[in-house]
Amino acid sequence: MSSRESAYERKLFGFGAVINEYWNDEMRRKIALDYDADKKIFIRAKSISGLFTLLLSVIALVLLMVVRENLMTAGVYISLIIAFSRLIHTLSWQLSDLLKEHTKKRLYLEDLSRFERLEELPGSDSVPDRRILDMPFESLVFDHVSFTYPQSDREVLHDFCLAVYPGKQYAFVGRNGCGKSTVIKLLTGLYNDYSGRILLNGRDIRSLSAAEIKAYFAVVYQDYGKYQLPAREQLQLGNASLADPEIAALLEQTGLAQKVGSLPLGADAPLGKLEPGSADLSEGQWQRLTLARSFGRQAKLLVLDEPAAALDALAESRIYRIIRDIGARRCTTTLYVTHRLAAARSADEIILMKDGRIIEQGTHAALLARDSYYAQMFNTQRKWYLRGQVAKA
Amino acid sequence: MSPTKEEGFLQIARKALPLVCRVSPGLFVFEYAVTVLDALLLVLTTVALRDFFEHVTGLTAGSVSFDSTLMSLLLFALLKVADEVIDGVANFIGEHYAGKSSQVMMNELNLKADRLDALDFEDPQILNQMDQAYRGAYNVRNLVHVLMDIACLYIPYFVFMGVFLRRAEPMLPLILLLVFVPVLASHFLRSSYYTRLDDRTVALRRKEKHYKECLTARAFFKETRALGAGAFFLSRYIQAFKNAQELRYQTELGSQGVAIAASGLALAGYTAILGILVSLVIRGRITIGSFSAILAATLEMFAMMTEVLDNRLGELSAGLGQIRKYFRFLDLPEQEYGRIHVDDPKDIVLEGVTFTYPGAARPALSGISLRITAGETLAVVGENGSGKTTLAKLILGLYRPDKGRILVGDVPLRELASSSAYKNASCVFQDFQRYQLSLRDNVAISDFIKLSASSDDEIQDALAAAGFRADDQQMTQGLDTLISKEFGGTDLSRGEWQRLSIARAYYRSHQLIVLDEPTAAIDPFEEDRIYRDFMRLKKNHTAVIITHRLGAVRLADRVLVLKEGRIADIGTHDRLLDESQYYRRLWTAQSRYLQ
Repeated sequence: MSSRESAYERKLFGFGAVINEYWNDEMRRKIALDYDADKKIFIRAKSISGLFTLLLSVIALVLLMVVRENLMTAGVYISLIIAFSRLIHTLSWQLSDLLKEHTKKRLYLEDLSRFERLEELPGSDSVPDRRILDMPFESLVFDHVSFTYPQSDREVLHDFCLAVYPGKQYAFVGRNGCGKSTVIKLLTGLYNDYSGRILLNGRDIRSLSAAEIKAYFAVVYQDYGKYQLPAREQLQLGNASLADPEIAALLEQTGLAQKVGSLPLGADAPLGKLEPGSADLSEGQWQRLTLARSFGRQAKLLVLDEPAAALDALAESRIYRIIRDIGARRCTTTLYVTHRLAAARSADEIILMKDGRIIEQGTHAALLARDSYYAQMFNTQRKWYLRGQVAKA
Repeated sequence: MSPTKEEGFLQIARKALPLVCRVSPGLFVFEYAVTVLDALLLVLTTVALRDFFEHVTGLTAGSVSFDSTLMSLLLFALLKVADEVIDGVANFIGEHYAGKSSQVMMNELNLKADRLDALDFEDPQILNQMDQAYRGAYNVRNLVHVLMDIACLYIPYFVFMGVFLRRAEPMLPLILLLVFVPVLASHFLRSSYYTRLDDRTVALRRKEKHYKECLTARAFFKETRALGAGAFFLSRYIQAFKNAQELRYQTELGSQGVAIAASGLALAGYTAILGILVSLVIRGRITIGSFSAILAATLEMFAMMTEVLDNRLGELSAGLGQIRKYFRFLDLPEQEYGRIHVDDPKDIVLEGVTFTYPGAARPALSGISLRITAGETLAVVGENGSGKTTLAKLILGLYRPDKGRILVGDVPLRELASSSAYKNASCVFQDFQRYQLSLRDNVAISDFIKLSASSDDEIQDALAAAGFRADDQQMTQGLDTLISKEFGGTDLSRGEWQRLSIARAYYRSHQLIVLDEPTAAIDPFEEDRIYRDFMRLKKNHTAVIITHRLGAVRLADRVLVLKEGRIADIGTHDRLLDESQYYRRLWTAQSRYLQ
């Protein structure tokens, strides 16, 4: 009802009243539950204090007889009664409060310890170990890899085999759900329980530490996070040693120099909406910033999942040009997933996936020459760009 | 923050009282009637106790019979039990009422947020205000409850007790009053500390939240892990937390200093009363029994005073700032609407429209003049940041121009009635939402009125048109399947979510539909099919398509080229390709790879 992100759909679609009713229903249910629980608690607390009051009366009565026999003075008797009645007050109220708090805290603690017991992935919080970058990249081989997501019975990768060599560009294409993104997830160690092996320079990547994998592969995910930080810190997140000229160069390469330069604080201006005076970026600018960060990491392999989805045509072709340039200059190898076949075309090797397998593989020209699935796909997209080909409706 | 004068305590109370009372008037009256009874019983118990103690003193002196002492004990015990029961009932109703009230108060906020201008959600100040208002919602009832308790419980209690004490010694109530007034004043002083604290910590709280999200939210954690940036965000989080903690510490330091001074005063008052009582006993003005009963009563009165001042008013003063924000948020200006209703498809006309985001140095769009003919398909292209999405939001009526005007037919947008302002307009948003609701609600959320009047068939049609496979095995309960990972339902990929958002836009009854980058996460076959189906289904609707995949512009009657917030050119694709150098550059940047 009140989130910033849904403000536009809420306004346009006018769903506020109905969703608010959903919320009210949940609240009513919660209040009814509270009502029952509170009823029990109060009845219990009050029966305890009633019982204590009874006890007090009995004690008062018994002692009163003692007083009658002049075995106790009135002063002692009165102070005893006052002390007892305060004690009862404490017991009936504070004790039940304490018990209630105790129950609550115990539940919290149970949740906390259950959370603490969750299995930890070793190295998930480690900082990239950049020393491994001294190791030149020779090859990356997927050796009969099959994988099923936990709690799922559908195998997303079947017997997947692929060899990747230095300095080349690989484009993964295929329909939604064909397993393209899964390849990336396995490569970067997000899941380890696959069958078969993934070999980096002949070594099983499961023998590398998480810190080494993080340094060796620079990944850009499809759902990239918008860190609300100044541009400089955004880039330094990926590589803390970046100096001013390098930061300026990265912003320039990704076409962000003008935008960042227009801010009063430049690369130190806060981005996003976190504090007053922050500059917000468009979807495409956020994506470019994420890309700039991945370039700045100087990793051996660049892994990009749909890196240009939000970019305009000029920016997109610029990004792919940068990817090629950086690849050539640093001998970086790039793997990317894309739906835009125009982008795939420039890759050295196109890998077409279907149902978790590679069904076609080769250069754009080679694939197009055959009557391939790829050619079919390419032509579907291409005909939008040919004169007089689109029949309206 | 705001130039308007801060509202005083009483003004706020005057606003809050009717609001809280309206939650459930009957229960409200009952609750405080019980409270008055509670006050009465408290006093009666004290009187009965004194009576009992005097009997006991008399018993030892032999002037009172055992039976009448027993009777007075019995009376005291009965009153005590009754008091406990009444006290329990009052507290129980109170808890229940608190729950009900916070629902009603938050409901007001929800509805208010719904009425706010979409643009308000781009303003960090308003977002901060909203955050504070939601935190204040619970305290609104608390404020009224404390005031009512003071009126119905504490004041009657203290007045009766004053009379009770006066009968023993006229000095006693005076001393109590002398203590009470400065202690009360100290509380108003403390309240100002907390108001200031809340104003200063709200920004820090939003930071804390963002950094926590960077570490743990689904949208961030993969990337944060891959970057090894966890430690960085953790330290940021701790920093924000520490800064807030430091502010809290400073506030507590000042506030508790005042509190200690007040307690010292109370202690002095208590000592004075004890001294007077002792001297009264020595001079034989009161019996030992009365002395004890009065002393016990004074102890209880001090306990009550601490309760009302420290706990009740203390809580209140901590929350007063938030309550103030609550009412200020409810008073925020809302979008104004006219009275005219529009039904038929109409041309949309922009005349010299300029739009600047709040706080931005330069306008996002300037000098836009354009007529979108009813039934036309217009494509909008341009580089990132050229103003395409802003233009869409203006056309949809979500933003209002700073300069120039927008007309629907010949009616200016601002003169449309609220029910007509967004009626007949639909949109696939670039930043589409992922609602944690059932599949049915995820589609029908765009037009709940339609859902109540039609069958599920239309939902199925919309899903089919968007290429969403509702019969997929994942959708275990068909349209009732909960789409949410967090609440234990089914999760979707980005591509599937995008199709769902297209279905949502189709489902809404519309004459104007805006597609803002609708196929970014969708494969070429699907994209091809979606656009074809779109053109087949769109009939005579007006459509605005914003896309970076320029192939789709071929569907449009005209193409609008935006550059740096201005119209670079407008015309048919073929004409632009021949005549506009900039458009040719955009087009070939993409198409040359597909030749």
